[in-house]
Amino acid sequence: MTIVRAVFLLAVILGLPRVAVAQGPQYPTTPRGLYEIGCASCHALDGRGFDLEKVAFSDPLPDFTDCSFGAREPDADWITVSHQGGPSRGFSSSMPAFGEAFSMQQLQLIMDHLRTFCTDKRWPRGELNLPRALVTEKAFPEDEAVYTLGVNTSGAGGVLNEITYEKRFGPRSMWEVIVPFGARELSGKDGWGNVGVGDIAVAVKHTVHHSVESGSIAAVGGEVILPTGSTEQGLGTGVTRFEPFVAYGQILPNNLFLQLFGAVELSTDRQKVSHEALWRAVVGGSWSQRDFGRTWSPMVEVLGNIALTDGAKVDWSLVPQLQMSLNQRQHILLNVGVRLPLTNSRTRGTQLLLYVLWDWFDGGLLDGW
Amino acid sequence: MGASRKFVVFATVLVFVGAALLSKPAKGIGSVEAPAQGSVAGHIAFTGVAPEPTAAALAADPYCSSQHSEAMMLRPVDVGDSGGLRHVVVYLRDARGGGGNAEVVFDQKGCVYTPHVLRATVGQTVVFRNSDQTLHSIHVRPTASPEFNVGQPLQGMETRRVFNSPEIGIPIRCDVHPWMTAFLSVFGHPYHATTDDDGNFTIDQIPDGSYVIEARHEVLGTLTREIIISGGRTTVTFEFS
Repeated sequence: MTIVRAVFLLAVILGLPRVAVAQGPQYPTTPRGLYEIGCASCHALDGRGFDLEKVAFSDPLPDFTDCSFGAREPDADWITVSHQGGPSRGFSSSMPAFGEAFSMQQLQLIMDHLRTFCTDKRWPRGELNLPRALVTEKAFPEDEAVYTLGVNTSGAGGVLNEITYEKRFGPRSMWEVIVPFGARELSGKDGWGNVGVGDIAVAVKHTVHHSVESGSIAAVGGEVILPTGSTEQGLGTGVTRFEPFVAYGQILPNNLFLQLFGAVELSTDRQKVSHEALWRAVVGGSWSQRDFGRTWSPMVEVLGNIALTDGAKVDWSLVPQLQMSLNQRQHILLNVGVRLPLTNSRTRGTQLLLYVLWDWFDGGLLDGW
Repeated sequence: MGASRKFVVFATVLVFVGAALLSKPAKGIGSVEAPAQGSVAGHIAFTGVAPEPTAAALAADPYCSSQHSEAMMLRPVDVGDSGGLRHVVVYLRDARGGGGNAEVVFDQKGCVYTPHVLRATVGQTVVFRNSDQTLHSIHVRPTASPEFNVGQPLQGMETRRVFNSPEIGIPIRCDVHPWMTAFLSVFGHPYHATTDDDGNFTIDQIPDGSYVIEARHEVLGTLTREIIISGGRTTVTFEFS
């Protein structure tokens, strides 16, 4: 085998770029060197980005040293934009595609250098932001708004809507407000009549551990559920409850993941509402369509809860579901699933669940389609 | 008649018939006569007041700055000493015909697009080349074809694209260097030209007939004339103001 053939074979194996380089210098081999030739002309050597007067971009360049921006998205999203260009994720067309200039390995090296710009390691990396399940709270702090719909498909009729607003504060924390509203079928009467707001909840969550190397993240939090819903209409419990919880996420091999959640719901009036323990587990995976396209995340949740009273039994439920990104930027997501009661199914009917999630930090509702 | 004499007579007839065939014009034996052709030549003049040139902000990229000993002046209306207008694309509108097969090279050298006005025909390969030791982006924004923007970080990189839809005046820019702009025109026929430094142009090998000829400038717009090609050279002038 000649040296030329050997080099060519090596290039094929390593997936080096398809673009022809007639002459000139060779590719740098260091992450910094690759960043310098591919990115620094616009994003600057220090990662802060040049002013628009200096480049021909129509939108301001991002500041990679800003951890609140740089840390929250996974490498895969950055590499997609670098490989396919800005429009592949609904961003500016001024961001060129480097898929013909750099191999995936080189783009990963550039990412490694880009990750050095955020020096505050308190910010959890976007890789640990696992897909949100229909019921289970995740450990990653988020800036999201979620509309959830639950429809009873068997048993007593009921439609429950829920709007959740989440906002991060600091590197590891977030607060959220959950406003349920809906309607329930009137017991013993005809039709639907109980329409209104349910028990509003407010919560805080703080990430206590995160490691992209081990692929794990853990958070603790607390929720206060206020008796804002009408008990007569069946939309509230009439009791204030406190819910301390723990949440854990683990990245598994082959694009799979595991999420765990445990909480105790403490009632301020045990005569009306007993204490309750609840635990949840999610197993799923995420795959992109045609490498850089729509993301699909099938998941299965196992839900368990038990009233902390003598003789109580565990209620088990299974929630198979499918989450998908709706737009190119992938900050609008849809998740559809069914909550199937595994125990006590006579009083707990099947429920159709879906949510539409808007990661509002990444752009407006109409952006990135 | 002996056998040898028959052979001589046959050979003689064969020679005469062959000579007759070879000396006869091709017309009438299944071949096609080439259609009559002519050419159009002309001059594009500018009679107005050209905008004042501005200096490119080369300092934004030290490499680009190092490639120019003097300020690089940007002239959106580039008029030659003789009053002729440069960078005008002249073409026959609605003409038909095949295009060239050779690759068309669009170079980036000294942080300048060469040529500033590029022409290609449908199906022809356009080679976007980076001859500079700095990052350039090839941001091509057609309306009849998909937009693309390709980064070329290394000197000597070449990106090849084929355009399948005719379109006049496709803007090209480098998003890294704001002064780098150019225009690509894709034609469905080979009858097009770009004015030289004196504002002159020539389009050859045009089949005889009546045509509409247009001259398009990136800033000044498009002028139109009707011409008749009937062998020889037809002359036409345009005057932008």
